[in-house]
Parts: sequence; structure tokens; C-alpha cells
Amino acid sequence: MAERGTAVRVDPVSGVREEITFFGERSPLMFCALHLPKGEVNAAVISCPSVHAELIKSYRKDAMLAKALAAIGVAVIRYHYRGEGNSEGAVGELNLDAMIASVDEARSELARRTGVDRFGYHGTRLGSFPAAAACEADPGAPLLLWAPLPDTDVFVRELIRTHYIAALKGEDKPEPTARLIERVMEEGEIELVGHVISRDLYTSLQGRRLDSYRPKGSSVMLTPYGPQNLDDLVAAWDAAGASVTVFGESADEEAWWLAGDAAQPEDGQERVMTLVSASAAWLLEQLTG
Amino acid sequence: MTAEAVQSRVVDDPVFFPPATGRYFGLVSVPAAGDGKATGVILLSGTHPGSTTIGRNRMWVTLGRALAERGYLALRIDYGGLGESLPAESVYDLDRPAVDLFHHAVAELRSRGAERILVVGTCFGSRTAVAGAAAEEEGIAGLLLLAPPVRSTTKGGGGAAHLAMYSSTGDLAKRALSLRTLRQLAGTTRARRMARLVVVNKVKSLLGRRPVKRHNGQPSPTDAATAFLEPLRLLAQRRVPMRLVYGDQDMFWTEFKKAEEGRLGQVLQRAGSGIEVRTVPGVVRGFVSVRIQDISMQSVLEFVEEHTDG
Repeated sequence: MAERGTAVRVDPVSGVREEITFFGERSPLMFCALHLPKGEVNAAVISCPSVHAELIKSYRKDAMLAKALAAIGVAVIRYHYRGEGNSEGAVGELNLDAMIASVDEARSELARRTGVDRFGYHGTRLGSFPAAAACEADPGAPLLLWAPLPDTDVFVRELIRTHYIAALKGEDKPEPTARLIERVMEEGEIELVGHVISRDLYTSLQGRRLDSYRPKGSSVMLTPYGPQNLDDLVAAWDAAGASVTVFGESADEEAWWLAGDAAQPEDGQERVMTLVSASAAWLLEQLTG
Repeated sequence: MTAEAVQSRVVDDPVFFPPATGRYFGLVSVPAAGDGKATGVILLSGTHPGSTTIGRNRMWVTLGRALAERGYLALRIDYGGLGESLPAESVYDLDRPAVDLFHHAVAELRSRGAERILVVGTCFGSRTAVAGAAAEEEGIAGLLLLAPPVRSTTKGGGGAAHLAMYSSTGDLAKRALSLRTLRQLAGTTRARRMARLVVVNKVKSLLGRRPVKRHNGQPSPTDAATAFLEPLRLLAQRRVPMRLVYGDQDMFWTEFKKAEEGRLGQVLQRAGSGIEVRTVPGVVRGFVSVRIQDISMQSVLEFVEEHTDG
């Protein structure tokens, strides 16, 4: 086996230490970025990304939030699930239950590195599910969700619709949805918009609702996205004893699965900076206030 | 080639480089001990939102590990302002490729024992590959360019400009008809929004259509960009082997064929067998299907094997 190191970078101004490495209690290992503040660390955040195109599209914003938090004294771990992103493992490793289970490993790794026992959770899109599940198991921990999916059907529906829209460019008539579902069950995987979707991932996404997790006693901040209505989620979590804040207006962004090659740096974009700085300030207040 | 096909005898070694500043981030797929061939491969994605170390369906991850399985060091990279790299110093522009990153990527692989460097690039990455290789004092052993854009279009603006310059009225009418289907599909607010976006872009492209005027002695609007041609010419003079691979349905292939009538054709003619051009069925740009991902990865593996000593 070849040897692997850890990439380390220390910000000369803030003293924040960034480490990129692989971790996990079992093989295949997971890719992670640790953002470690200079000096004593009192609180820490576990950042749960989404998957496939959504992972890539939100990558920089997730990283910017982690950097902003570390600069104000909050340690952060960001990571990729097994079988996803830069982590080890094949596509068959990835499903929603494995995503949820992986948060414990990320929390252990962050606790081991910082000695912190007070955590907050951040999730983006499908990553809202592991973040919310972890929050439920850690009563009172703050929960920040960017563009959360009220249910997993939204994820599947958007993916299949994008597949059909993309298919219009081609000459072949796209298969009906029922046939796509039959094939993923029979063949073990299907291709949608150039991504392989495994049967395990597909079946793990059936009928899951975000409001089935109860972040009791937690403060929750949600940022809306597109036409998705978060009213039911807010009402359910308010009723469960959470204190829910909805931040910002629904952003009319390019579709997640159609992210093209029109990328320009996000670091200086006002909308992104507002989201990142408000989110970091909110998490800091919840964790240390 | 799916990720399952690649076994885990290799590891990905994360690195911030250059060592003095750690400005850029990359992952080096490292062969198992004793398997190394002293050849490094730089993988240069196009720019797209988020990160450029992963790619659609993890194509760059799979490719990097597949190369390491065959004994090569393979470096995939986040451009400045993306993924784990520090912020970019400028916008992404095909005529301003990431030459600084390229230079440091070469140094990183050389520091790990790579004596020969091969480069694979697509879109912005292919322009970075050509400009970066031409600027390197020590030779680059070969370049494989997947659907390289030859013209100077603003990133992301190429589609509209391409339609305006290369489509016939009949083609445009056909496209307009296909929108009907799209609108029928649009049963939801989200889908309607997508449909509206496509319609607006089509109309803009039609309105933006201008007759192409040719001026004596001046490059035509369909000519290849000087920022692409000059380093290409230099590399051909140095006899650096280059292979360009397009999909026969790529809009960049149409542009390449048109540009071949101008200065690009002269460069290709002088280069002779030094620049090889191949086509594969479909659209390479964006790697939008698993089939084209597999074809592209196979093209890379073949090119690397062909251009490695020993």
C-alpha cells in the first residue's frame, strides 16, 4: 500500500489550521477537511454535505462557512460520505442510512482532535437529513440547514425531471419513470444525468421526511431555496420544541443538477458572503451565547 | 469504467501546493509501493461551481485512481477560488488560463519523483494545459485535450454565441420546436422556471445573431483564439505530442472544423503528425453520460500508456 500524508495549511493572519486527510473507523476511509482555530476551542460544528451534483455545487460555500467559523473560534469538520466525492469506496457504499451513520464517526474524529464535547450541525440539501438526525440525538445542539429538502421525494423528483430535460437534447426518447424505477431495482443501478444512482441509494430515499427528526430544545436556522415550502417543517419543529428561524429570501439559483461551466469565483459574491457570515454568526451565538 | 473497477491498492495523498503558500489544493493518486513508473499525469478539469477534484459521477476521482493502479502519479486539482484552494485572483477566462497553477502542479509532481509529465485537460483545463505547457522551461512529454475550445468565448457564454454563428435558420427552427416539448413537460413551477430560462436563452441567441464579415488579413470571428494558437504552435515546434479528442456532436468540434479553415489549419499542417485529432460519437464536453465518461477515461489511459517510456 502506498503511503498517505495529511495536507496542512496555516493561515498567517488568523492562525487557523486546515488539515485535509482521510478518517474513519473502518475501510473505506472518508475524505475530510478539519478547520482548527488557533488557541482554545470551545465548540465545534459537523458539516454534512449533499451528494452527487449537489455536493460539488455547494462545495465552496460549505468550505467558506467552515473557514468563517474557524476564524471566530469554532472548529469544523467537513467530510465526504463513503463512495462519494473524494472519499474511498464505490458508489454502492452510498445510501441515506450510511450518510446518517457516518456523522458519529465525524463527531468522534472532531472530538478526538479538539477535546470539545459541544457540537452544532450543518447540513446542505440532502445533507440536512444526517445533520437533523445527529441533532435529534444531541438534544439542544444548534442545527443550521441550507436549502433543506422537506422530504427525499423532492431529491428524486428533481433528479428525474432534470434527466428528462437533458434527454430532450438527445435523439432517444427517454424511458418513462416507472421503467427507470424498474431498472434500478432489477439492474442494481441506473444512470441519471451522467450520475450512477444505486439501488441502495434509491431505496434509502423512499418516503423519508425531514420533520420525522425532532430537534427538541434546539435552535434551528433554515435558508429557503426555490419553490420548496418549508412552512410544514417549521410548524412541525416548532411543535417539537425547537426554536426555528428562517433566514433570507428564497434564492432563484441555477438548478442544482444543471450546474454548468459558467463558474466564477464565489468568494466575493455579496449573496454568498451574506449567507456565510450570517450563518457563522448565528452558529457562534448558539454555541457560545 | 466504474469506481468499482478500481481497487484500493492505491491511495489519494492530499496536498497544498506550492509548499511556501499552500495556495492550491490537489490530490495525488499514488501507486502502490514499487509500482511507480516515474511518470506524472496532471488532470485539469473545466471550471464549474464548487470543486474541480471530483467531476460528474466522480470521473476525475476514478481516473486518478485508475492511473495510479497502472503505476502513474496522477494529480487532480482545485483551481484558485474552488474547493479547498485559496481565493482566485481573477475571474475564469479561457484567454487567461491558470498558468501559475500549472507551473506549481508540475513542480509538485517532479518533487515526488516524476521525470516525465503528461497533461490531460478539458475546456478551461485544456487551455491551461496548452498555455502552461508552452510556458514550462522543462519539457512536457505530451498533452491530451478533451474537447478543447479553440475560440475565445466568455466562459458560460459560448452556447449562445455558438448558436448565433454556426446554426442555420432550419437548425434554429428545429430547436424552437423542441421547446414545445419542453414546455409540455413543465408541469411544475420549478420545471416551468427551467423552461423559461431555456426559452430566454434561445431568444437571446437568435437576437444576437450577426452576419459574419470577413476582412482581408484579419482573423474572422470563427478563427481560433491567438491565446490558444500561439502556445499550440510553440508546442508543435518543440515536437511535444498532442492529441485532441472531440465528440462528433460537440459544439467545440463544429468550431474546430470552422477554425481549421483559418490560422488553426496552418498550425495543424505544419505540426503534421505532432498534433493528432480524433473524434468519438456523441458529446465529450461536460462528460454528460457514463458512456462518454468511459470513452474519455479510456482515451486518457491509452494516451498515457503510449507516451510513457518503460
